[in-house]
Amino acid sequence: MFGATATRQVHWDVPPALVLLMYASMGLALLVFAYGVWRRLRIWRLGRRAVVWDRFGARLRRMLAAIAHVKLFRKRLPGFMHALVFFGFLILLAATTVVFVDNDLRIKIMHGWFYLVFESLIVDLFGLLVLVGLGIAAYRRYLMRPVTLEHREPADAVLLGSLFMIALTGFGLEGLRLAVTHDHWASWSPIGLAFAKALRPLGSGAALKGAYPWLWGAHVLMWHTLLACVPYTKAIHAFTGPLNVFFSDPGPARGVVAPTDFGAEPVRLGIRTPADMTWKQLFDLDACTECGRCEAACPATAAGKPLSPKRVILDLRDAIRAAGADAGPLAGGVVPYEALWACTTCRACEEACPVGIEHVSTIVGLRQNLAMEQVSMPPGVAELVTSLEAREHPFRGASSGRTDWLAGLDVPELDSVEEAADLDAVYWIGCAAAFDERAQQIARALVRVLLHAGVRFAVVASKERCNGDVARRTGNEFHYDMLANANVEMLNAAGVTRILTHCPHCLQQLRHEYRGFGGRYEVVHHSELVGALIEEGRVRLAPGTRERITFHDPCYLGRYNGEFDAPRRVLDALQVERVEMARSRRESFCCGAGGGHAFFEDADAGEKINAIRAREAAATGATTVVTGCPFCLTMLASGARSVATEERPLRTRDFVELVADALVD
Amino acid sequence: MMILAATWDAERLGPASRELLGAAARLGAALGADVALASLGGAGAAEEAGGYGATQAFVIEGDHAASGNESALAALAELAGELEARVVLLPADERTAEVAPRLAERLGGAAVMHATGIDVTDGRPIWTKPVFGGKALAAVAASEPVVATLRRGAFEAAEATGGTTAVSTRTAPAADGAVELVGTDAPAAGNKLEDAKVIVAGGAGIGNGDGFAELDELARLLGGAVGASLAAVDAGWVPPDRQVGLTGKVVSPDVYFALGISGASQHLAGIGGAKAVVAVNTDPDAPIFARARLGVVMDCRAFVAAMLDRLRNAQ
Amino acid sequence: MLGLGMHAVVLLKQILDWELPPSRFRIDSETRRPPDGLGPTLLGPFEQNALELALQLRDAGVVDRLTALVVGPADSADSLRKALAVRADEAVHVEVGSAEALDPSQTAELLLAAIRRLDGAELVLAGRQAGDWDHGQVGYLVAERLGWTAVGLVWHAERSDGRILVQRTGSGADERLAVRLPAVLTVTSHPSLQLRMGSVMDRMAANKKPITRWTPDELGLAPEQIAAARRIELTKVWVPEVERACELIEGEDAAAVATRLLGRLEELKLLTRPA
Repeated sequence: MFGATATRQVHWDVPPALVLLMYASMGLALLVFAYGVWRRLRIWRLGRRAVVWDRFGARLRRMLAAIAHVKLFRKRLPGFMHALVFFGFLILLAATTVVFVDNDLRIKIMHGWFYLVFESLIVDLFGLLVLVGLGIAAYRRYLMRPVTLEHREPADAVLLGSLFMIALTGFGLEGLRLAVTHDHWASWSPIGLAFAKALRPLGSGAALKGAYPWLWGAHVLMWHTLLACVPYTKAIHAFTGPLNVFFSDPGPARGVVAPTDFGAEPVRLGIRTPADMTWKQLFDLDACTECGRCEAACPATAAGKPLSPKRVILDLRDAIRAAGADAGPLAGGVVPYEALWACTTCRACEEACPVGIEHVSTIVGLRQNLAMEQVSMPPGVAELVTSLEAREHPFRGASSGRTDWLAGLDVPELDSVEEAADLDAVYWIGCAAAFDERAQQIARALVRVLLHAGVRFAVVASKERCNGDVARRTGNEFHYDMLANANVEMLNAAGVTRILTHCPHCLQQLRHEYRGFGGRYEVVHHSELVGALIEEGRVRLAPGTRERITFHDPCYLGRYNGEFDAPRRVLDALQVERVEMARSRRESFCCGAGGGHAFFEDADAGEKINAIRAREAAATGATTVVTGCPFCLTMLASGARSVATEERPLRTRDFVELVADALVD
Repeated sequence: MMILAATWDAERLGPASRELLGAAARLGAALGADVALASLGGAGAAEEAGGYGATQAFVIEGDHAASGNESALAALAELAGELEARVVLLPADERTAEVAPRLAERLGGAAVMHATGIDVTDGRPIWTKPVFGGKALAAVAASEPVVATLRRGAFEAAEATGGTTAVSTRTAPAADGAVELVGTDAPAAGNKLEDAKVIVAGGAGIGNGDGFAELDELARLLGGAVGASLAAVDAGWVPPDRQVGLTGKVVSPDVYFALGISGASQHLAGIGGAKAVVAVNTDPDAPIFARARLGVVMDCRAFVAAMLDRLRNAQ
Repeated sequence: MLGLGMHAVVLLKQILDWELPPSRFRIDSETRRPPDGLGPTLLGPFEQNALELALQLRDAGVVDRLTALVVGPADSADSLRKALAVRADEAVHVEVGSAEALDPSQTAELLLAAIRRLDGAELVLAGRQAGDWDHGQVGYLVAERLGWTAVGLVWHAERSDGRILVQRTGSGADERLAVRLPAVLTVTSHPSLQLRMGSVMDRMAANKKPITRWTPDELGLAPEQIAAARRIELTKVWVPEVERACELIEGEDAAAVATRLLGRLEELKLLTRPA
């Protein structure tokens, strides 16, 4: 039964003194490690309270998915690289733990089949995979040089090199042992054996044996150094990454901005100092691996605007690590004004981030400080806010009244609480349809569909105010607060419980963000309602046109509200040839309107985000790009003008307009 | 009893002054009053007054500009007092925005600004003037003596009668130094808006200052001047002296191109005298189309580019 | 007083939203004014410019005390809150009933009395005209009746040798004038005079600051005196009909539209030989 006796001597031929030294160095490394963690902890503790333990199951699932590399694999090569290194080292760490259990705890497990299959063969193979993974990493970082890894530091090379050397010296040690001893079970360690074969010609058995303790010492020292360095480098993400995913908002409401307590004394107006951040926002900074996925997904970065979500996180991290609580001013200082105002709050960065960093919440917090405390904002934002304050809608210079367009339409205004209870839904018109001619066509189309399907609905159009999204996303929480309170008060007084909207920004506010103001409503996007009406057979449609159509996911419908399928189901019911853009669904690329940008121009040049998106739509060969948001529609329409040609037109429609066109009586 | 019209024209009576004299003559006929003209610009303008129905003409000498409006104001107050003028008519412009109310106060009467019409009811002039930024009109009766500024283009110019009248020369009272002119900044190059036959005006839809550079070229090719809406001026794309509207210039060209201008009543109040407005706007419901003779629903930048192409090729 | 900041008063007015859509705008033929509640009332645009110029003068140290003064009904307090939110030092409200439509002369009487009560005011800034009745007179009447210097359509001011050096829109050219104090400046719109926004702290503080309220009576003006000051009578106010006769020019592309439009203008004899 050789399997039963198979094992190896731990610390083979290492002088006991050196083993003792190893324990000492281990202790020292752990001390340095602990000190580093303490320093990190001190920064995290600067932050304000954050809610991170509720919805435990959802958080746990998200963390496990992150550990399973679900997001990381969205990018093939780097995902593969990371999996090799991560799982490889996990196995190597397990192997070391086995040694520790066997040798130090004296629980003899390192023998027999377990020793041969796991401790020898599997560990050997995973060690090789680590080397391959590190090779890929080095190849990407130093030869491929993707722009997302532009931020190269010496620490990166040291980290990569030391991981490589630790794995290599590990094989070296095994190779030396196998070269000198005649291990019966050498063939269970194929890589070690290969090293042994390579090492044998280099010296006599005694010389190799003599080299062993030195190499062992180097191996151990490198590993201990690395361990000690972890809390001081981005390697800390091995711990903070999964935890940060756990702490990040698991939904279903996403990207909800925390209300400001304007009654507090003193009142906190956004993020001025690190103490104004939540500890989760501070934790984000230490979770960052600098992988650059956020930057690659960012529409502002893509359009050449002065914003990189990665830079925002790293600049904050570096400034706060250097100066602690005194770092600042953060808004407009550490993170420049131009960067903050370039954000469209599309959350593509958050969606791309493998470690659950919530860039947008920090950016909005910084904007709050710029807008409310420093009064430092682009003129367009100031005008937007002035319009909201004076006229409760963002369409400065509107030449019509809020309900003018309803004249002649068979749309009743809600007039009693009793009536509200009897309705299928109250149709929330929103400012876009109230004031923008193009968006009115969406509302008219939806009204036709509702009347066709016999939906019992009414509007509160004359009492609506702006939902406040543009105020909130531009950091003007003070104005948002007023609008949200007024709308909630109006809706509650009117007895409204079920709401229909064709605007994802209204949806986000009415469905999720008004909860913080006492507004709890069942809110549906028109794609959800129209989809259901079609499924129930209440909407009769003419046979499809087979037109080639691509759907643009509005950020506030998709990434914010998780609704990707409803509009697509509607398109499929219309029997069109639905094609997808290269970036769609969760990875959808913003139209450029979010975060208030529908109402203000960036000072800087750079390409227009909507032109990029229109090009992507045109690249599918579609003749129409369909969406489900009035702001996306406007942006795409102007983007389409810049890319469409006479031979290759690119129309822009809301899907409900297609439905209205196809209605059969 | 007298109706006194005042002009700052120098060599000849310009169209605005002839409109003043036309209004003065009709009002004078209704009230049974004679018309006098005071020229603060020069003798040439005063000498022509007789040919347009004035029975008296005065030239008030002095460096009126040197004291802001103090010298002109003092001279007009003195003359109007001597003539016992019931009504003083002034052209509505930047200068009279200040002169009219101050003159009225000095005469113990009231001012009516930017009048667009005069009726006489029961022997009393009733003035029509725009209110609420031009969204509405008001008929007002004012305590006499009335100092009224008349909007350019709202009144028919006086017909030439071939008459003549003697010109009296007066000297303005000495200014007390309360206001002294330190300097003037020449207006930006380009045609005078008030006299341009073609005006190419841009609004918020033009988008930026570069867009206005294109308008400059378009105006040059059309032999016209560049105007702007308040929105474009407030955005800093174009100097304030280009603003057309109730609080800017009041213009009366043959063709007024309103490019990316939505047509707020404030703005429309400045283009009442335009023969034809050409509106170019992406929003077919913009109020400018209600005032326009010809309309184009299009992004105004694209329109300007096409016009430039067309006109450059024609050269 | 040379070198020291002075006390400036800015005259404000709360008016019906001037951007109120024409479709909403109405005149009540009985009262000859827009009915109450037609739209929001706001601090008028030229008054905003005047307030901004006053703030710039204070930033520059020319003014060290800034009083916002308004004559109007209860909602005029909003204008004062707005002024306090951009850090005006004091706010004075001369309250008159909402039904009372004052003419410029009457408004000037009330303002005069209030300004005389504010000690040491040397500079008054007013909007060039209020965007409701567009009379454009109040600032000048105040100046004439106080015997102060008046300059209209100012968009920049600074201190120079005990005088105020202003830049203003003249007829034909911008003028730079040296103005003797005390003076009233009426302020016109200019890109540099967009009213700044107050910080949220300042706004919240503004809600707690006191507003001095004076009735006409307290200013020594009896109703008959105010009535006697009237010089302009509105006999009728109406919204003119606008007829729509716009001919739309369409075409396959912008070039076709341009060609067609130029042709049409030529046909109409509006443009001579455009090409």
